[in-house]
Amino acid sequence: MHSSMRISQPRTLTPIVLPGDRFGDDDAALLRALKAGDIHAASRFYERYANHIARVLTRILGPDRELADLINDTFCAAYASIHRLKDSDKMKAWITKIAVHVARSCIRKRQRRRALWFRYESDYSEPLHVPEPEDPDVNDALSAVQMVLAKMSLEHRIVFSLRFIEQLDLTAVAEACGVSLATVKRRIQRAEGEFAALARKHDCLAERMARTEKWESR
Amino acid sequence: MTKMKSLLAQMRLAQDAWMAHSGAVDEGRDSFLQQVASRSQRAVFRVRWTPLALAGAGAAAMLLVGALWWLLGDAQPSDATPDAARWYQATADAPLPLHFDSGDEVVLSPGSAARIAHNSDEHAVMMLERGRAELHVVHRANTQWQVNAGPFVIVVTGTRFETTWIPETAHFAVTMREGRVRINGPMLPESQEVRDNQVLTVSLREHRFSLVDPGLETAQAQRDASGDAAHAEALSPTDAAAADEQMPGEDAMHRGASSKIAPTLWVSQARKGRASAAMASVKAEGVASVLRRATPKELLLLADTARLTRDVALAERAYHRVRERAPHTGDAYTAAFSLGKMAFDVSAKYCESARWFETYLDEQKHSSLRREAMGRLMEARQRCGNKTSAQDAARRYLQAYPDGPHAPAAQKLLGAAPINNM
Repeated sequence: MHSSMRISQPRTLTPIVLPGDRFGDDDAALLRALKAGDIHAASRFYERYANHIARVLTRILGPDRELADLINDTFCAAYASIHRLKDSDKMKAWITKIAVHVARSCIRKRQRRRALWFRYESDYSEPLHVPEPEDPDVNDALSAVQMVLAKMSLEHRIVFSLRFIEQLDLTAVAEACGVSLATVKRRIQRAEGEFAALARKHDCLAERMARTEKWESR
Repeated sequence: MTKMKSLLAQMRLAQDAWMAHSGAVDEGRDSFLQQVASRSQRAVFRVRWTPLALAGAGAAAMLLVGALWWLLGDAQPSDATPDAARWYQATADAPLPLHFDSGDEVVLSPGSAARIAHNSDEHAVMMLERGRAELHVVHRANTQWQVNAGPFVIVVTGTRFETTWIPETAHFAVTMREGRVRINGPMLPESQEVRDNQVLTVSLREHRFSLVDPGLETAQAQRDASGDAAHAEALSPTDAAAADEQMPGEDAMHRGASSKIAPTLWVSQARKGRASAAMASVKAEGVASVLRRATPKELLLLADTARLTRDVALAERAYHRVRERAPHTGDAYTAAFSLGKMAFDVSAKYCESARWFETYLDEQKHSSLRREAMGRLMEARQRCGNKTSAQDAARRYLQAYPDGPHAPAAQKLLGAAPINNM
């Protein structure tokens, strides 16, 4: 015999989860929903920042075969520590900083592996290719730039990539690296010097470097 | 703009083009949402429990359970009108119907549990904690019903359907009787529509999703967890049977999901160069099972992927399996070459490496890898301590490839034994 019951009175309990973009551009609502464990908020969070994170990672690491895993690592780390984020206005800067940390850890891990495995090492980087370029040497030059970046010291490589390839402003670079504005300015200046010294060793970059007096005003 | 800045701008564009082509953002989305769905908030948030806090939490949980037990009695209210907040559990031997003033009806199957999280004129939300529920929602303008089943959200405007959520196996299913619903959740396209007798099944554990129309007996849409439609895979009949075991009375339509077998998740991941993810999928599926079922080409892919992740033992097993499974084929020869290379580069077993290169050269008389194999054979024999045979290999190398990359090493090895002694 079935028991039966009637449900009549509305009662507000848990946050209602509705599909679609109910967050709009409201980062505060998104943050609240993320902290409540709303999977749609997680989805929206990803949609909003995934391309930016992919760019940040690719600027630092180059075209990397593990990019999807690194994006995933970034978002998982962000989601795991979302409760620490107080100010929803800082969401983009905060996840950018996490992405930089993920990229930095990845490079360090691979450096350790290379040291450990000597001859046997994987090449995670894929070549960049500009189809039908105006300058026939551009693809060689891009390969050379990738090599130069790979040889730069880690922190210089990060600030250089964020500043001159992704073209973040100085404040954003400082926030992404977790250092002060003054520190990041000094670091960028040193990174320019290191890049220039390494680039001059490549024939296809030396001429370009000769025409480059200064990167830009700060 | 300076030349270098122009070059960096081109690099940015080239990187953007590469990113768009790589599909990494889409792959990352699937992985991230699956992990969010499959991990509890407590696990995701990595709460650091001290022993004292743990003991306190345990005591609080026991008190809470006791209080709930006292408040709910046998967990089933009698004829009194229940609050919308209540939790409902059908007994093991009888279904439990829930009637709403609006005319909507939910019937929980035996053993199933649900909670009505919200109920108003505009919308109602039911959380299916476990088991199966049959819903009959009357269509009304501006009214929306929502069923949350694990990480899945079903949006209903007026329809009749059944839904199942088994948390232990992470199995989710929807069987439509009338009308249509839209579903959001991991592995599914956004707002996946299910209608007209279709059966949607998702196995988060197996990373499979199928949408089947039993009337057509055709798999309408299948995708693997990576979201790549080209690598589709339907929920197998054994999965449906397992779900039936978990939930007696599950509709037999799940067993009707006949389908072709397509590349599994690890294959699609490995082909996209996601070595770590592919290896995790292989381990989730079972290494022995993968080695048993994979085709020779897939075994080569598995071995290469294992090699990339430094799993030398698995790479060796896979290469050996290729040679057992497809002897005297190009795949077997490739496996021999790779075994030789791995023994040389990774394991530093030079004598073994030399044997594999000899095998390769014996088996494969014409190939693009032959020059490399001959050079490696020379090096391997030398490092193995067999100078005479190394010199012999050096002579053969110089004869075949006098300008090859190993030529200087070969000439050095020969020393006083020049090429014309051959």
